[in-house]
Amino acid sequence: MRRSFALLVCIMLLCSCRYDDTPTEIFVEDFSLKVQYAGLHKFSNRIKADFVNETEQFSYCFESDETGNIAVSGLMPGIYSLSIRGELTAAECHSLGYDYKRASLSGYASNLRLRLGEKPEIGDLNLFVVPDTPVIFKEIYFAGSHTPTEGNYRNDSFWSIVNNSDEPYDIGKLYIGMCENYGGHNETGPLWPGETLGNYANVYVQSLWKICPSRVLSPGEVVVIATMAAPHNKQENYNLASPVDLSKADYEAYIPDPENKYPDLPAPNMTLVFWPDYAYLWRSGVFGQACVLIEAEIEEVEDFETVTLPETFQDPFESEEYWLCKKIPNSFVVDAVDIVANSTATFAKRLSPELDAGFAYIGEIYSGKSIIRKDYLDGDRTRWRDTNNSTEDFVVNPLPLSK
Amino acid sequence: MKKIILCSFALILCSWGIFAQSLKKYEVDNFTEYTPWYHGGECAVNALHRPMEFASISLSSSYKDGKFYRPQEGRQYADVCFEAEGSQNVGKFSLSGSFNFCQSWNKGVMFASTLDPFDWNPYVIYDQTGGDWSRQSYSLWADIAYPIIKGKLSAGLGIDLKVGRGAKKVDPRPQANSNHIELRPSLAYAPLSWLKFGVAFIYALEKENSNLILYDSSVPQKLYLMKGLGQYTYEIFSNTERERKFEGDIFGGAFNVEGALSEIFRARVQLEYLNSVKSSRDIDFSKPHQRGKLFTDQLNCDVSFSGEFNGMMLLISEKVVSKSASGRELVQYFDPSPQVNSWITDSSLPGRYHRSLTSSTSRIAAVVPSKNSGTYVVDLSMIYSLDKQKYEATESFMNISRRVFSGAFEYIHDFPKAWIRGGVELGGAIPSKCENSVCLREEQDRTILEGLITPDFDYLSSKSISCTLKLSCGFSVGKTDLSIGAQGGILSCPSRKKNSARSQLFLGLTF
Repeated sequence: MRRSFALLVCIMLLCSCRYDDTPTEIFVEDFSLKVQYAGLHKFSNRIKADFVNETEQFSYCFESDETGNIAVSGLMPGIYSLSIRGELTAAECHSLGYDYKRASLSGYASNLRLRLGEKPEIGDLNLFVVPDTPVIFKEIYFAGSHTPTEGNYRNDSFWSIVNNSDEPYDIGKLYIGMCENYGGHNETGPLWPGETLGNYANVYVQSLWKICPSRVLSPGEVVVIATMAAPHNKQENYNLASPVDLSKADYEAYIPDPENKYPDLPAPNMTLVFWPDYAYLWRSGVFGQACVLIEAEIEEVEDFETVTLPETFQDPFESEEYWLCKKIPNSFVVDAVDIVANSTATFAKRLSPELDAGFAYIGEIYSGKSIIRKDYLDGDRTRWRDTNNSTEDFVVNPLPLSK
Repeated sequence: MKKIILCSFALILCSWGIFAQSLKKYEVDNFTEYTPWYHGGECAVNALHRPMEFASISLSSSYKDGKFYRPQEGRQYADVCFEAEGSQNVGKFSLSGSFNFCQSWNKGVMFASTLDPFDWNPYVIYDQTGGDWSRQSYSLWADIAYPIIKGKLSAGLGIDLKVGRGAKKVDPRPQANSNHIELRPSLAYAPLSWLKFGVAFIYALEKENSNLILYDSSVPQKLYLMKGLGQYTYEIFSNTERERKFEGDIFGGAFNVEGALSEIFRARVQLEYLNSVKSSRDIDFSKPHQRGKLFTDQLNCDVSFSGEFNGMMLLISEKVVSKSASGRELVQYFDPSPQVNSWITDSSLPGRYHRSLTSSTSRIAAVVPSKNSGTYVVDLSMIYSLDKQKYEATESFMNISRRVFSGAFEYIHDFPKAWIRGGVELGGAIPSKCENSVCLREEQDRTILEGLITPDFDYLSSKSISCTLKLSCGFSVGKTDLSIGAQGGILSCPSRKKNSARSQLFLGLTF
């Protein structure tokens, strides 16, 4: 009996290493964070810090004191991203030598790993002024539409850009491109060599078009760029259930290949600069894909490095051209919109938070819906919101081209 | 699986010829139901006791419908089951075992993506749509015992195999497969003719795979990645597949001591300890993504007194179960660098979710023969349980304390070549102290709180009564007893004016 009982006790002892620990803490230790900009020692407007716990899908908002100190408490452990926003007053702009009435301040940090039992060491965070961009994306339609026979149609996509400034703007140096979405939708992108996760210094575009040789856009003027500048919802050979007629689009992404069976429609064609693995239609994925507007001289574009995705990430079933991208420094990007499949696909972000701190999404493929910037009135003028945060700037438009 | 079914049929056909005696189904039922050591953990004891020899097969079908049910139970349930069970002494070996196959159809099941939504594992996936499930389960157990020293020392091996398959028929469609294999090598020792000890080592391996599939990926679905007690993160699911895998093992041991208090009465004390660890992981970006681990610890203590004299059987037992579980969440991030390209564990959050259950079951049962070829069966039981759950990080908890009473009274009448059995079973559940406070995870989405947590709490904290009528009869055909039976009952919650009805039909052969 003793031996049997001893055996049972031994089993209990052996199993004791398979116990969960008893937690002593639930939240991350309290800490403080210091934000700073140029030589400012005091901020007239309080700086706001949004901590997003991506592991738990919880958000916390804290405010700074006037010296830029932010006291943080009660955070759940997890992987965090931090977004800072603030505003400089006219007096502060003046004291810094800027000719602005006001300016938005921004700052980001990602992949903050806050753990139980460890004091977070985030350090000081330098803020920057969000640049005022004259030409921006206004509306993007990529989700596709259903056909009257319940089929799917995605030749009707378009991108519209607008001159949001008060001055005329020549788009002759403007290029439009789509970033790589290797890994497919809903999947995190590869980390390119030399880049820091979540804070990329470059954009990696799979395709790049020069919009036109020269055209001056007056303030508020909009240009529509179509995949196919066709009367999609007017003729049966397209899709009568499409939400758009793009026959009056300003430009078309026509592929000049003799074997291209798609018609070259009347709209002026853009010039294909880079798309080694081209198809006959330039279309975004229906779940969305990051888009960029680049401003550069022809020589600068020629100098952009062509890079290949490291072999670790490559799928051997794709051609070699498929893995080629243009590596474009962020400084050439005038506007960027990170588009992901849905509100939870944050890991699929491709752009640095400096270019786009958020992401836009529709969440319904073949829904015939687009994303469009929020508008507001500035005196008599309709302007389009641009804070370099697509989550804040864009909404879903149920009827594309209606605004 | 086909091999298992074929082997089972072969076993049944062989045993048909071997058994010469004609046992009635109720005799087998009384033996399996009221003999504490039969399939009792340390099967080595069988070699010292030599169990009753029998073989039976049965086909049964049950049906349940009504409005008083838990969301994960489904509003309607129907099944068809086949079961074969037998026990035989072959030479010095004592063999007993059972094979069971069940096909079930379950309508209106909410918040389930695994075969058993009442499993304690908190790291499961729920969806918003719910739907109808179809499930198949195969289970097989076998106990083999062999006397090493006749009447003194014996060895045994218990094997338990359970396989389950199931799927929901609406997007997102979980297709679940589960496997459980358990081994219980045991030794039994009888130092004195009236005293026996048994000891067993327990090892089990469990695996389940739940693959959620979207047939129509143009309609995205919201998936809740649960963490326990209504806490979750979510994702909008528009991929074609979302796979979650569960893997775990159980280590444990059992010890029993059995003594004959007199020629009539036996006392038995059994202690069983089980320790399990179950991990849950997804396949994200084609790489394993660990979600959490559940550590479970269970201690069972069973004290029983049984007696058999002049055809009368008596069982008095007290079973106490103490089970506790702790859920550890894993914080992982995806490192997309060429050198790593996989999910990396950053930290773990131990003891995030806790659950404990203490229950005590008191039972007294008697099979009493009457003078006029009849037998009375009385079976009374009372279960007290205290089930506590907490998720401290969001100050959520749920405590359910309840007593469940049950009393079955049956009469069996024997005719020269037939028998008839009829009875009634009355029961009731009385909650004593129930409280809950569960944090709403998202202000704009109350699905889990209002669809699962609140209705489940209402069900468990409601008083209910039940009544079941049973009727069966059997005929001796040659060396075989053919039995047929039916039972029907109602479970009612008067305060909420909700009822559900249950019925069962069965057809059995015993030989």
